[in-house]
Amino acid sequence: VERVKPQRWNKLWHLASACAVLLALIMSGQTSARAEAERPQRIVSLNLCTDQLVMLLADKRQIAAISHLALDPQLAVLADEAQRLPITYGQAEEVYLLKPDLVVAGDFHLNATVDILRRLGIPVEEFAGSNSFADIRKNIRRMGRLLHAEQKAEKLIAAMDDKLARADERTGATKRLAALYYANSYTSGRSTLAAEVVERAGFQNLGSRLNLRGTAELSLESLIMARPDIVVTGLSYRAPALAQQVFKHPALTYLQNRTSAAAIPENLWICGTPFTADAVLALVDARKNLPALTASAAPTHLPAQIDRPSGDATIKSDSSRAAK
Amino acid sequence: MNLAISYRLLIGLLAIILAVLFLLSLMIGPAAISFWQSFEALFTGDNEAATIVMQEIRLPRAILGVLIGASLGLSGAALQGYLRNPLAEPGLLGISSSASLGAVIAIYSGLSAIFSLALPLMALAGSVGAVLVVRALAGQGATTVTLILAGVAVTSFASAMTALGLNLSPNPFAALEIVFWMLGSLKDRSMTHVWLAGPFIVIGCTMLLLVGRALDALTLGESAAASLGHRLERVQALVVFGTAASVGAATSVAGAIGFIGLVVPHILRPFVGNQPSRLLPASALGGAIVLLAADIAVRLIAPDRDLKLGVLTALIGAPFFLWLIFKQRRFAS
Repeated sequence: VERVKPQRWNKLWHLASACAVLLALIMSGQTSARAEAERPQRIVSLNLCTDQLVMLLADKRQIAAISHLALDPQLAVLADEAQRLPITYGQAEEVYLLKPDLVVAGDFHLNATVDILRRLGIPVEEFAGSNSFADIRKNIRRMGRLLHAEQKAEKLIAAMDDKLARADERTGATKRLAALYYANSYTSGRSTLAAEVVERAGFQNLGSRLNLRGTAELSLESLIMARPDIVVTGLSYRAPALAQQVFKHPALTYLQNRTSAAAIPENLWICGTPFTADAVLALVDARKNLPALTASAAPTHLPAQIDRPSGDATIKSDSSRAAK
Repeated sequence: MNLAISYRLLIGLLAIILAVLFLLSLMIGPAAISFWQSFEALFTGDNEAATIVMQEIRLPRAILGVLIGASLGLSGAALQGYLRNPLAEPGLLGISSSASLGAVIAIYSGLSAIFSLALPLMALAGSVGAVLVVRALAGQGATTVTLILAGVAVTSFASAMTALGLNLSPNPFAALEIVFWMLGSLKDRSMTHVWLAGPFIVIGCTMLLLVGRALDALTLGESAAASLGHRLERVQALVVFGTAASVGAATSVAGAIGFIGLVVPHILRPFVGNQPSRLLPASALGGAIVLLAADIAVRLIAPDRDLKLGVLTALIGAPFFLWLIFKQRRFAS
């Protein structure tokens, strides 16, 4: 009985190895050619965040189109580079006509477009938004794999981690309270990228402390009563809107004069990109300029003059504004 | 229907209710400030943050509530008296939405950033335009139906232009603000807005209060009023510009708030013996009461949602409007 089995195994083994050899023969001639062929040559990105990763990782000639949002310097760090690329508004028709061999999209909108494209046989890769630096690394690596640019991806991640390490060295031990305040009185609460940025820079995030989740409304009253050490706003659009009027509210101006104010361009953290580390560094700078922790001074009168929010990136510190 | 109640007593009662609501409005907000603490904060600066909240956020909100409510109630009463039409009201006649359009042009074109008075002035221009267009469309001695139709036409046109302008703005936030301009809100308004709109509202309301006697005479008909020595052009100018100034300025800082000018005079009319000159001050107080109450309600119902005022006023006003139409039809048949 025992002699039969090895024979059978032998036969099977021979068959398997023959197959393997055959497969190896076929593969060996084609691997290099296939790697080149598999490298996507006509990439379409439908999402602001994937736009920027694609622009960072792919060659320009590989990009068939990016989303129109990437042209807005308010939203995209790479807006200047985007001007030279073709754009799409994310309609299935126009995307299909671009004959893409890879479509990258966000996972939260344009679902109908993505469905149609998949049914038409176009490979679509959906990316989740980044809520942390770990997410950013994950998304960069994944995009690197898809675009066959793994080394470039690792370089980007290393550069980002470098900046973060530099930031970590410079953050002090005491946590100061930072309030993020966007147009329409919105703030970032727990498990958001902005909150992680703020915390990484050595602050406690007011939105997280108030138990807010995601991007949520923070009333001006609650903001004033919380007395944060610094109010971090974004940059205003040049075109006016009521949403931005809250930045000119006398109560907010008062708070910013009494404490500190920083304006961080939103494009650094709207999307998780390597640039998000720059937001941490900017906040670390702002933190260094904070006055030392002391009991608040005697109340001063209310400011009568209201400043227009400036159009460019500025970090305003208490010392410079108090003189006004 | 004539509810026998002394006029002084009525005004006194309304004033007391208004005062209570004003205080209540100061007490309500997301920041937890106790009753006494907030009073202290309003007048002294010991608790710095609370003082800022009271003086710079809640006080302007309450003041604007009174001013805007008063101008809506008063202009409703004046328009109903002048046009001798129970359905006349700044919202229904398209005056509010045209003022919104003027304000939208001033703000989103950047004009008001260069010259801040452009905001109330453009809104005023919008509302004057609306009154004149509605007058022209409906004609002299217009029936209720033609007047309302003219108002509907002006309202839809002004709203459409507002929406168009905001949609075309390069600022992505602008399109979301269509809701504000059509339904109105007092959220996070500041003293800046009080100083901007307040003078126009006071001037406009004064003009409207001046026409009381003439409106009394007008209840007898135009020729009777003229023979009593009232110059009708002067009355018209006062009503048109008074409404335009007060409603225009009110709308320019808080958006278009409907139905207050319709409901308030109707509720108060039986108490003043159908006398326009007495109805005007009562409606001003009543309008302020209704708007303050609505503004308190939006903060209680949805503290963190910025529910628009127009939603609440329409919830009360629209059924009331239907009831008025129903009553008119029954009266006619």
